[in-house]
Amino acid sequence: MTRATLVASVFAWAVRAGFAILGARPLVGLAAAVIGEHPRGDAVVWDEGGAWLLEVADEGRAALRPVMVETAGGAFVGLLAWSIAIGAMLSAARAGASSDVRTWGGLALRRASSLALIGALELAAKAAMFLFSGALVGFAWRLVEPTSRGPNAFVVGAGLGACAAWLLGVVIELARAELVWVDAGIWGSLVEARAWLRARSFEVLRAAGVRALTVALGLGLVSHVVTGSLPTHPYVALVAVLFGAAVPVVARARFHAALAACFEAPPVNP
Amino acid sequence: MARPRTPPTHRARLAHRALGHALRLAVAGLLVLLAGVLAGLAEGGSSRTAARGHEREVTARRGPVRYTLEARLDDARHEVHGRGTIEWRNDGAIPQRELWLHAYLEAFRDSRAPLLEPDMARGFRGGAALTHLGGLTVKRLFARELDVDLWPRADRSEPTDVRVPLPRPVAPGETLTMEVEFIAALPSLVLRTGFAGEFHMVAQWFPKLAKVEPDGRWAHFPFRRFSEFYANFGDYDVTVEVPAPMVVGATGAPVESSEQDGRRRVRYLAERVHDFAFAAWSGFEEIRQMAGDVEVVALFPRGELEEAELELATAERGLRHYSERYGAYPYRRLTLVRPPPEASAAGGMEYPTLVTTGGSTRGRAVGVRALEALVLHELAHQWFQGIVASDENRSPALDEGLATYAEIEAMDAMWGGASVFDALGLRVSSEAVSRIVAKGVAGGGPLDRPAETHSDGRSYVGLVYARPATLLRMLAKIYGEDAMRRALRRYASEQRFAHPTPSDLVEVVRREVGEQAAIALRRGFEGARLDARVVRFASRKGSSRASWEGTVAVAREGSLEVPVELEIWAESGARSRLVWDAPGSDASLEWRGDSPIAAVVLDPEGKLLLDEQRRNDSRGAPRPTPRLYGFFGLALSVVAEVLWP
Repeated sequence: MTRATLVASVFAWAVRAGFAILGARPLVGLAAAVIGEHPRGDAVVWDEGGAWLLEVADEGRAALRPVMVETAGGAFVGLLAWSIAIGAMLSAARAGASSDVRTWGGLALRRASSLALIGALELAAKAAMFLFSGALVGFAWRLVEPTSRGPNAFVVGAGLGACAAWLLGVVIELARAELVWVDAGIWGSLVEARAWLRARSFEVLRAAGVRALTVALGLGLVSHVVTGSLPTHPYVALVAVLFGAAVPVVARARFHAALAACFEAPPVNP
Repeated sequence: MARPRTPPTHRARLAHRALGHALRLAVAGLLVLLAGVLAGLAEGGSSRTAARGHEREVTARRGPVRYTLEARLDDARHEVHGRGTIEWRNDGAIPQRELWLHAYLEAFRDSRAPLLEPDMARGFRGGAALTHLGGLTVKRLFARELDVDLWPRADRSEPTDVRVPLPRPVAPGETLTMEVEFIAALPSLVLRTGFAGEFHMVAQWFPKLAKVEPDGRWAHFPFRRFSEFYANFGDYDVTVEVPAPMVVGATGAPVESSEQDGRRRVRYLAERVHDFAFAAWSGFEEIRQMAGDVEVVALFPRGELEEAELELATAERGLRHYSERYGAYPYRRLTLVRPPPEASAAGGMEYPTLVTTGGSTRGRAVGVRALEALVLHELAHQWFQGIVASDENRSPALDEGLATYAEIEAMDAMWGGASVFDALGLRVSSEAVSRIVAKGVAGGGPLDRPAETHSDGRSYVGLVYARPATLLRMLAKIYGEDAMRRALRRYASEQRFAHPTPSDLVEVVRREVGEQAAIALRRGFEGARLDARVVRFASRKGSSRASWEGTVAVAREGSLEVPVELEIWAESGARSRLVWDAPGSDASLEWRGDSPIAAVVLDPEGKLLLDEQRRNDSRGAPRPTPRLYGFFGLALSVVAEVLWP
């Protein structure tokens, strides 16, 4: 890992960890208001039986809308910062990238608006996929197999939707790389990304698969540690959450390195 | 429950081997052999005794009605052609000049009937539109003793609740035998009864006598969305005829079966029950299991074996649990019917010795036990309304509340504090869910009120299921689980094959749990509310050197007055308890300790399940919230990874 990649990754981690903690603030405030002045604090939420947990969920529901608006606003700001962080990671990933932060950082900032736009499009497309693909596939499933149960079909649909969302994420990441490395414009980057995927599908999908697996395993492990230690070791859990924010960043840095190697390799059919 | 024992022959072989080694072991083996033989005899005897007990109990006192019916299913027209006799004995105190018959399928003759009003279904089930109308056409109701067909005289101004004038009064103790002939046209399945494709759930399908109360008054009522059961116990001898490929699940137990000309006839006997329903479908598969001396049969659609096995296992556990809590299940058979997905509107219903189920096993990985909860709830109805047959129309909260109480108690006894969810380090119990639903309808009015007074499904579910169940759970926690268990056992025993009212439940709670609990139960049924809170606390130096004195001001809104516990946290870390056990809306409680009061927690053990707000139950300094940051931070990280670029 080059110094440039390390610095860019630390910046990306700070954005992710900041989002996790600051984004949680409104929801934490909501829950804390329901718990009130109980001397055991938020430990009561993890009590056996879930009386306080449901109390928080029930009482918090009424005030959820403003909190969600606040969280969504935070997510939007986070998205902008995250776009810059991804730009920085991509700039730093190219071989021969300048170790001068101002050079690749400047490049990331120049591409920030395009990256944010492409990120927003990706977010909307993924959300739509999750919301509608399950229902659509479930509906189709019911048409072809009337005796199957609807919810099962929905699960299958949601699974297919998740796969499609993952594939979309891969294509968009390639487009981002094109955007940062070649400055091909948003539409041009998307077209190039599609061509790139067709030409180098095995290498790209293998690297993307490794990234997805790393993230799934890493976050799964962190989730296990966090949920297991929350009742008894809350601060350990909090550290685990911060550590967990590093997993996707490291996986992404490795993915970018694989893409850069791909990008710099001679064409398959010269 | 009778368990299989080692056969005496095996024990004899063991003893023989032992003789070859040492005399001492041989003697022991012989003793074991003797014990085995005696145990085997005893078990055989107890099993036979239990079986005789079943017969004795269900035939001990014949009910005043007996239905002998033949039901031929025309699966193409979705009709049941019925004929037979209805015997009725006037068990009332006065001569009867009229009969009341329930013709409940008539509710489906008009798709705009009040029963099918979609707004009423909000928060409950049965909101789909009727695509095929139903109805009950009675062709004949000939009273042999009176030598007259009564049906032409019937007043059918309310089609589901028919008054039949008699040509002469029928004296107390006198019996009428009525020959009846009818066609039950099943509606498309939108609410409990009807058909969906080839599946037929045949419920409320025959003209059924309303119940005569001991004072001679008829307890009759139209078919309603939220109630349908209240009738005398009686005997049903019903022969169901269906196309041969169809499998039938019905109330009672089959005693004869034959097949001829592509039709199958199965005769069912059900004694001391208050209704009869059956399901017929060619797509059913069947598994069965013995639960003690009760045969449990599960009928289910192909491909749902996993669900059916879970239902069977849950029913077996439930039968044991409820028999221990509320008295033995008195019938020989229990049938579980799992409708196919397109007939889910038939699921989650109780009929005597038959329940319909539903739900999936998905979610079990995170501890969601929706299917088990449904089976346990419907099974609990075998006691509460099935055997203890309260008036479901007048007091639906009595049977639904008790069935929900029994379900919650069984769920939590079987799976502890994680009976409905167990994942992410969070564990949720059935009781906690019930509390939230009950809290949501606080101030919704009395729990004990007729079914038709509920404005919609949400009100019905909250006030009839969750709130009475939560009230009883709260009283059990406050006054003692054992005392409440004794009370409900006694209620179920005293009211077995009887028709109790809420007053009977209050009375038994008074005797077994105490006067205060009975008052709280009565007030709770009247709709009383509770919101207890800590107003403030203060502490000052006491008279002796190392002592502190304090006062804790508490208040309560609502007339549900139950003892309230307070936990005082001293700055030294010591904790002590106070109890506010006096009536009234506020109090100031005195405290002594070794250091100033740091915090006060009202209801530290979460016994006040109907307390409307918990956020005002504590006073002290706000605490840091690292766990919440950890939890929500992790959740946001995962969401960001899935949705974010």
